[in-house]
Amino acid sequence: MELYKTSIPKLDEFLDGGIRPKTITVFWATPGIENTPFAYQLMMESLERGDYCVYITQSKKSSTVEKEIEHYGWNATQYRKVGTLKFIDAYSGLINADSADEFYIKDARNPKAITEMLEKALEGIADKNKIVIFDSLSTLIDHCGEESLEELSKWKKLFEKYNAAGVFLFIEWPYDSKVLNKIKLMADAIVCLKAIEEKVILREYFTISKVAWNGKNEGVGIPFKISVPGGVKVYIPKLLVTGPYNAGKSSFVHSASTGAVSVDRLGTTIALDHGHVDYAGFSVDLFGTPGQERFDPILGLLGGEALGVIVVIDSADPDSFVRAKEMMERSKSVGLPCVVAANKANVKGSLSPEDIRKKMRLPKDIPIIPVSADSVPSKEKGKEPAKLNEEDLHNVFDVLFKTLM
Amino acid sequence: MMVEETTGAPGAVGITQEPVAPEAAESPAGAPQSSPDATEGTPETQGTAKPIPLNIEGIENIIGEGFPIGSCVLLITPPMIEANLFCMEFIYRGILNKEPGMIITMDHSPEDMKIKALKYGWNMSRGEQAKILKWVDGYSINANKDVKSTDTIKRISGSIALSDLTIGMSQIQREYHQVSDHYRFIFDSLSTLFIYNDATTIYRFLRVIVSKLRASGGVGFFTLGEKMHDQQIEMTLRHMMDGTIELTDDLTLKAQSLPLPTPRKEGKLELTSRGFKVVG
Repeated sequence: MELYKTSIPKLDEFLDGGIRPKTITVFWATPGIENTPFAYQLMMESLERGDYCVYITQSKKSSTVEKEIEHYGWNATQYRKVGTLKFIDAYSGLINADSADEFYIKDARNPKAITEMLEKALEGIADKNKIVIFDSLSTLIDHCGEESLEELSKWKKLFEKYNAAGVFLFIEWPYDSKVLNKIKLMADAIVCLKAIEEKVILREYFTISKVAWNGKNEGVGIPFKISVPGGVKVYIPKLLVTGPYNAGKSSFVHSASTGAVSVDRLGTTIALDHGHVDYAGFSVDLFGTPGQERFDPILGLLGGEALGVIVVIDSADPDSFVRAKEMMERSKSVGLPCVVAANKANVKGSLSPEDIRKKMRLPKDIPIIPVSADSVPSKEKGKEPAKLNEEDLHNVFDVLFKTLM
Repeated sequence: MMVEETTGAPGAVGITQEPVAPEAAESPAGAPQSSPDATEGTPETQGTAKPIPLNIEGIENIIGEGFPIGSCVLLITPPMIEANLFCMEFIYRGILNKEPGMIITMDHSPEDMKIKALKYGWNMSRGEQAKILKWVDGYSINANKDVKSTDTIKRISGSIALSDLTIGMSQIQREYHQVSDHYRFIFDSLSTLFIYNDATTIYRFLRVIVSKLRASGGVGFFTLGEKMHDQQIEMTLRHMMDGTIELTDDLTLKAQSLPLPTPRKEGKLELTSRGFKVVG
């Protein structure tokens, strides 16, 4: 059976690999939270592997949808041109505007007209793998009435007949509970996009309230960020990078990040390094500690609320390993998901990961990843951090993300 | 941010454990932190800080010191009166005081509004440069203008895109939350929303955004065209807001049940080359 991946870490896992044909998945958002990037990302993933997509737009023009997708760094227009992406315009009719789209519903307040057009669009691609995105259920209720939800059972039959996967966007305005219950009953899967909100929205997260095909009902919320460009990323607000003096923490933060900053003096960090990483579907803020003992009193402060830790050590300086363990304790990172980045692995006299594990008496569940520098700044430059090998850095993050998730 | 064991997956950790009751986990609608009413302002949360003056010349003689933080006021004007000029002066005077401003415009492009403001000496770009003036533009895309969102202007696709409108406003509220305990806003106009949406849809939308505006420290106006809507709609909107100001054809300003007591019920305004002022 064909699965449609969202390409969002953890969400595909919740969905047991992705969205199923002949089902309806609802991206159910609190007002103020974007759900369209989830649909765009899923759609682009499917289009890129050669599947078809029918996008029913009832909230904006199809050209606006294309521009929005482009804004996130994807090119939907190329798929529209070759015919694998088809728009059904159920919007222009609502504002009494004309449309140049192939599938244009003039009577957009009539849900039966949408059903007829949907069938027409699906007939033409009956033998293809396809998803149908409906943007949005809220607009349907607002403009076609609550009774229009009855029409969705016909859409579901169409999805079954044409082996299509339905993805519906929904904003939870203060509707009657009967309306909400109808949608819950109709949906095979519900991905809830919620907010931690005080005076304003502070953080957004997704969670699963229903997956009919695996019975999951996860209470775990996964924070996310929407990057432009980039789309939906799982957000890790704080990863700590710690380790002894001169082990290469600043080099790690600067090499891994875009636009990292350091509070340093004479080439050594005296307060913190900060950087941001977008990699493998994750969006991460890195906080690097200073290594000198005179800064130990602030380590606990810097380590507070970290979700994971990268301990950078100098593989060729075993005498500093005791200090590395001490720093883990002082920064309150013992017990957090942890990876040891064994830096200077290509330096003469460096120890192997096995020897480091023995020396540091590390348990087997803490991975040790060798890391080397591609370039080391000349002594004249002095203050610039070394450039660490990108593949090595990715190995560190891959292992840590796996542990975190 | 909590790190707790996930259910049914020994050894695995999730990033957050959703802080909702079991029944709410089954029901997305039941999540308390997502409820539109959860952040709704109350008389207790409003009015604890000093009121925000409108800074329009002499207006304190009619409406008093100003509006408490979290006040949403309905501004009703006849079609011939340019309510957005009154509103823009309100925003501009705030910018001069380094108070952030948010303009939601459904009838004009921000570019046209800025040109119009310049005629009165109000350089709105000054606020944009200082990052204390942001726009949600619900007009330009539907008017087929070839425009894109910028750092200061979020373009949305029009009066039906209520979700995008809320997202644009929420993003600005989040930014202003970092720098100030309040901001000024104008929503111009509700009448345009009523052209494309039915009343129930707009009430639902307002329930959400008015509570967000109150909670996030917004102070400002929703404009409404006089006699453009049936009385029931106007009454409902008056009820949803914290007060009403009417501006008549002859520029008489009538204050009606505003959040704080007013020295007078009405007064006469004049539009000069530098803006509005109270003349009687």
